Amino acid sequence: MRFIHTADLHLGMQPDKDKPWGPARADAVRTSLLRMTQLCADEDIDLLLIAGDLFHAPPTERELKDADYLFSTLPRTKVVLIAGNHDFVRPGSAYARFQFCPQVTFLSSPELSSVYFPQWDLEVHGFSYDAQKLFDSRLDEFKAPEDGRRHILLAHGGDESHLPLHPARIAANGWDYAALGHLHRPALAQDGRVAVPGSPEPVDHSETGAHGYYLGSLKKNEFSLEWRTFSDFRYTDVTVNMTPEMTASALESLIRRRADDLAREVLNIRLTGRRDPSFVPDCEALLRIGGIAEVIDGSQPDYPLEDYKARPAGDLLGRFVRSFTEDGRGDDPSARKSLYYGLDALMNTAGGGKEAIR
Amino acid sequence: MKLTKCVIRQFGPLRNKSFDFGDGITLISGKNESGKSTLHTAITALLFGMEKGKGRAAASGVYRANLPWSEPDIYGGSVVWERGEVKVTADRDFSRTPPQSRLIVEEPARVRQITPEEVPFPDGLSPYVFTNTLSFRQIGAATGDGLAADLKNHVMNLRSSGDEHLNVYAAVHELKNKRKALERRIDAAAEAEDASLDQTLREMESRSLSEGGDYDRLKAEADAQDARIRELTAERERADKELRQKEALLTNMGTTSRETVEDDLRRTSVLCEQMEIYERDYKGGSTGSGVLNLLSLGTVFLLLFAVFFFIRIIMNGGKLWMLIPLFVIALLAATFFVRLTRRADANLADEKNRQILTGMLSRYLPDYKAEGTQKEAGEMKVYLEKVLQLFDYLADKRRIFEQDTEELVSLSASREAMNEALNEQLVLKVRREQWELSLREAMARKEALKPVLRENARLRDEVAAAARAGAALTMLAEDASASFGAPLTREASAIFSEITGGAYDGLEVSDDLELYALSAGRKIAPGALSAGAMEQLYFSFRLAVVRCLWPHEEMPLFFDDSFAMYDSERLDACLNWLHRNYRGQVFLFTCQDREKKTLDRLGIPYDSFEL
Repeated sequence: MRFIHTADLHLGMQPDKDKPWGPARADAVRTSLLRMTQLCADEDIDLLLIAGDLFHAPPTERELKDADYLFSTLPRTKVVLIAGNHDFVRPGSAYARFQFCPQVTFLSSPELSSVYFPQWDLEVHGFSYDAQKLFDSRLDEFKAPEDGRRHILLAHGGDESHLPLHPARIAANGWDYAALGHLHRPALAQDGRVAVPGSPEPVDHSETGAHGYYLGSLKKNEFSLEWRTFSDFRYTDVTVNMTPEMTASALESLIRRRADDLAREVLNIRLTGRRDPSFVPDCEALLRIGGIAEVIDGSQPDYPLEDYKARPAGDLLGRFVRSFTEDGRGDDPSARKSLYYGLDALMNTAGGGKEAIR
Repeated sequence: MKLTKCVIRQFGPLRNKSFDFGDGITLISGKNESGKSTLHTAITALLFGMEKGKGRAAASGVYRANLPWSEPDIYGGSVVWERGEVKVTADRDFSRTPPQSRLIVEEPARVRQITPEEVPFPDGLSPYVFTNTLSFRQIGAATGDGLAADLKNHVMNLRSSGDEHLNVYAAVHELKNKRKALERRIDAAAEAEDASLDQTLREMESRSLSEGGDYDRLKAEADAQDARIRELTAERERADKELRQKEALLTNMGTTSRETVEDDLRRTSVLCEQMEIYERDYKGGSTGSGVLNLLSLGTVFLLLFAVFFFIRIIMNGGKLWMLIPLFVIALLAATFFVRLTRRADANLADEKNRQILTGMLSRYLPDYKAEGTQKEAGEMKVYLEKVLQLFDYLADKRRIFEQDTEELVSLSASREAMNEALNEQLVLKVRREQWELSLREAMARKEALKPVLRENARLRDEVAAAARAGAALTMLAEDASASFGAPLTREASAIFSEITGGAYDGLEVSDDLELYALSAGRKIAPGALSAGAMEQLYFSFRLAVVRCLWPHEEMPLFFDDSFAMYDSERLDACLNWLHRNYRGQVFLFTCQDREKKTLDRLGIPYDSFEL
């Protein structure tokens, strides 16, 4: 039996709506289920597991009909899905009332329920969210029945507001496979018995790298899992290591060269390294280059901190620098930020300018 | 530190001036624009140097303001000062780019040229500190929050052997501005909206949606009922039309009621039977032939003849047996007679039947030319049977029609009742759909707010970082001022009390270095003091600052028209105090002769230069 495990398609979401590439991103998300069902047909998949957040919000009847139509085109694939924190099910809602086509099993109850597939002697257990947040840790508690069948747990969660879980505890509860959703980056634990495929399409610019799904195979005494890429679009982190000699033009030129080669890719620029204290990168201007979702200036002004720290005990500058670098605070980003704020202010207001500081 | 000599080659309007300074008070007087303040500035510039193109001097325009316009290539001079056994000569040429300095240190053991960084100034003395501590210009004009902050700043930096260029309070102020600028960029409305959306979503989540779930089922039922009602209505209309047509037809056929038709049918059946009998027995075959009639007639005549013949025989003595033929003939004759009679009756009855038949036919089929035949009677019977069937059909139809009507009435009533339920469910359904829509909108809005909230969070981090930096700097400043504050206050209080002749008990220096005069246990803010008293307050404070900064060295003080606001009493008090209590040099720059007269009157020795 071959299955695909996916989650967090977030149909209906429009990432980067206000950006030039927003329509392309919306298309990629919108067509993800279509491509997924085509994939199931092409790969002759037996079972499609959707571990929540198929929709970005509680779906309307129209959205459900759209999705159901795609499921109905599957020649042989059975579908089991649950609702996650985004598309949670309220009693009486369109999602709760909707009748999917026969090959789809929607485990809509907030209580653990299951569907049994005799042809594979497989029982898929799962439950749906009925609210946006669930704080309990029930996922760690569910145990697979000891009835000789194979059991898959389909669940959505993994952070403190959404069913906090421990993969090891889940794996210890006898599940043949725990197909999880919610986290948008792929993750694997317990020899692949507990897996999060991540969202098949990135839905936020912070979700960098490849996005995809798990293709699994469950035979009598054999289990295999393979992660495959799927996304039509990609966000990439680009780190620019600055130097004190780097000017605004040099920085822009560097980023432009990288941004010119983009195709269905958007960059998140991270500025690191040490820069001339008087040169504060204009992040807004860099964003206007195009193809850049975010510019985060993590660069640090190139102050001679060691010299400052070595100044006499009563020296203001030395005391100030030491107050933010000693007692293990040297690596604390917030302390470092305060340090540079203070140094910038001291230098900017120094009589004779910062050059006059001895 | 003692200034011993100042030579001006050219500096502003001053040209080729030389001053040898002694201890105590030196009075430098001259009219307005005579160059007193320029000399003050020149001493500062010669002491500390002056940059041409950058730095504070350039920024404040001092270099340019004092650039000689007649011979700009001669711009500078020299100043000599002593600190104990060390004598320092600073000769500076400001006409060069950059300005050149020749700095000579004469120590007991050696004389050497030094670099600007090696000039042995008293600890912490810089042009900036000089200007803010030793150099008293219009004190009142220069005192304010800025001065307090500056003093606090310099006190701290100087006492910590730090860099006099640093301006902690300006830095704190800049951080404060930076923080405010960052805070202004925080979209608080978005956060409020997000919190409100959270509340809305919580409320929406807690609302039950089960109501309104029956609408679709009810609607399907109602639709089915509507379809049935439409079907029944159409059927009823069709039936009604047919019934009307058929009833009209029956009316046209002259049939008023089924009973009449049934009667007619019965009568027709009887007619048919009678006519058949008539046809069979009286009309058709031998029974109805002319021969039989002739035979009957002949028999009657034969009987009459036989009667006559036998009467004659009997009368002639005939035998009785001879009557037998007569009897037979009589019997035959009687038979034929009866027969003839009955036939006559049959004919009459038949005729009557024909008339009846014709009447019925003309009633049912007015246009038909009836002859009253047996065939017509048969056809009439069939016709009437069909009419009866039509009656049956109509009855059946009517029954169905009535059943449909009943069902229709029942359905209509049920549908009415359902309408109410349906409307209720529809309202609930609309509410639910609105809920779903609102939920989606709220979630979408929350989604849209995410980048703003992320940016807000980032800005708050930045604000916190700037605030921490400001707090750290302030704390360092407070630490320094705390160690400095008490002696400063004591010193300043003593001076203030003395120069005011005990009119004030002293002064108080707040944590922010704000000054208050103390009188009879009351704290009086500078703004509430007279201009002269306020000047004395700051005079006392700054003298105390100088003493606290350099407790072991008498520093030269420069008063540049500083006593303009003083009345003579206050001037007396100040000059007396300086004479009696201050061991360092005191340079009085003045355009008035008040100071000179006062010094003379008080018998205070002084040197003087007239510009």
